[in-house]
Amino acid sequence: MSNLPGTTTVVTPPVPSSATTPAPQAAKAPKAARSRRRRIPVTVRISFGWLGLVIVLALLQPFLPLPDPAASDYTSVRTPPFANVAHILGTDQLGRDLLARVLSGASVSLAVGIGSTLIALLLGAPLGAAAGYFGGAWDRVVSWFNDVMLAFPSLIALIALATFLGPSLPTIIVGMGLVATPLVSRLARSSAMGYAQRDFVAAAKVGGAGSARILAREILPNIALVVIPFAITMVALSITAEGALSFLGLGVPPPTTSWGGIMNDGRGELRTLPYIVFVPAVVMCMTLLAISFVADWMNRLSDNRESRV
Amino acid sequence: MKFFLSKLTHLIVVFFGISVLTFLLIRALPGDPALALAAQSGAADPQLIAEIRSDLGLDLPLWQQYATWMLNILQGNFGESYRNNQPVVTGILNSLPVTAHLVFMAQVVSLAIAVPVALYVVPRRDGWLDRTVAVIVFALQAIPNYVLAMVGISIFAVALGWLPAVGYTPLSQGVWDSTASLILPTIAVSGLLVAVYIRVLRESTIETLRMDYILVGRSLGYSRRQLLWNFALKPSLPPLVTVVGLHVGVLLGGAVVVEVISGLPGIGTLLLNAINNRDYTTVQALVLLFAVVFVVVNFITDLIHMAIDPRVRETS
Repeated sequence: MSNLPGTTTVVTPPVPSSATTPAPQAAKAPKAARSRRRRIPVTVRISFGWLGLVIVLALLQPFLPLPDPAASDYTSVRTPPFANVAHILGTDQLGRDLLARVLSGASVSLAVGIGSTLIALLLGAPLGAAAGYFGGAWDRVVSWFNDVMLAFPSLIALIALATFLGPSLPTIIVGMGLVATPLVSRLARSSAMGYAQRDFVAAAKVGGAGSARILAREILPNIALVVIPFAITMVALSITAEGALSFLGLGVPPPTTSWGGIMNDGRGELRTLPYIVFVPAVVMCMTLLAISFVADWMNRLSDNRESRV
Repeated sequence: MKFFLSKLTHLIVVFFGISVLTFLLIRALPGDPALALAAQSGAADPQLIAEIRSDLGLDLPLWQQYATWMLNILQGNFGESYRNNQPVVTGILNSLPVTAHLVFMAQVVSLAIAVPVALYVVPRRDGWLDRTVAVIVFALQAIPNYVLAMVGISIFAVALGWLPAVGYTPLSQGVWDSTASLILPTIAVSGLLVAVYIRVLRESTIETLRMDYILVGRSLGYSRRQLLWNFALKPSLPPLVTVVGLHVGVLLGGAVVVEVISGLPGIGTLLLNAINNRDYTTVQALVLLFAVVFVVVNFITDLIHMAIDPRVRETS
């Protein structure tokens, strides 16, 4: 069984495998080709570095020697960035330290992005994979559900959910996860349809594996190659969408403020203190860009993988 | 014909699903419109609330409310706004032109930028210019439209003072003034469109250039420009048509934030106010409008495909 193509594919994202688990093809490939495949582009390295920095600083924010992000320092209100050592990125109109706010905002924005994507993955991938694999009535029901959800304006669904459940961090994570589910499900479905006819699935069937086992062991690991890079893009989309909700006053409620929330707080001062908006905007855009670079790189990796099978 | 029928049944099924979903979702929102209306008129005694409720038909069972609503809509009656007792259609017709103007400008500007850029970089594939464009495309796709909106406002409205920061001048007060008031919102929503259009057209043109007939054309001595614009462009268009259609819907929904930031009295602002005011009838009508636009644009996209690509015509 394990010699069949496809069955050896890893479940984890296709990060170049380390020396401990060499793929059979890679072992036979010439040395030069192998090292070319392993070289990670500079942009992707910088992206990983930036994301690592943001995540670590966001997690450490409560322990860093920084002012409380919600506390006002009335002795230095409206300090521009790099003017005061105590407030490196400046303070807003209420004297709140922008660096501390941006870092605590990072944990909120990243929690929304990652959390909602996980929910969409857990719901959408099995649903879509089953639809693509079984076909028939089940497929029609899932496809109809996907079409309706996708034709329904997602922002309206989010606004309605936020209003209905009351805006809070868990609500927004769940709401965004639900809205993103049809996207994952549709992708998983089309990908699973391609794999359902492949020889290794037929072999597993002959080997006596049941549908649940085939889905879990043969189909899901393979569609993960397509779905995971897409999911990483979706983290960026969720962070963007949460920012949009914050602008409409329906984002994560204060005092826990996301990047979008900080920008919305500073929007009234755009004429006088533009940096209140642009400090979080720059950090947010760099993070979104870094996520896109990583997703793009992973997509190309899994493309290569697919063409070698 | 079979193609049309299957499309049509699909459309009806999706439309039905959306109408039910909308109806239930709006009913699930907390807050009672009868209570809100009673509070508006100053008194909140239970009798008045009950009266308003039966006036609006809110005391009927849900399925009956849905049936009444659907029957009315099929007769072209979208009801009156709970808020100001105007017909919902009036409110929508007041704000639709603003959003339509924005969507139109965004599509025209994006295509005017994306098509020449894509066709210019294709023959210079993997050169420095192509790479630069690829990086810009990448950045434009990652930056949220509300960040672009605020960058635009602080540069062109606040620092340079060339354009109005907020507000909309209606078309009736001069085409130029009206267009100028939409330039910044257009830039904000077009960033993503330009990026997506360049990427899609570049990919599909590269595919087309691999075709044999292009090789024949080259051997017959046609210039590169003729090959690109006269022979390769049209067969490369279907994927672009699909995303252009898709982004009409994306623009309608995604423009909400930009409309709010730029103070445009469009569909997005109307929707947000309606949701905040628990104006059921307006929200329902708007969501249905979004869905109809989405579905109709999809349909038109298919028709354009058939017009461009003879193969699609034959198989249907």
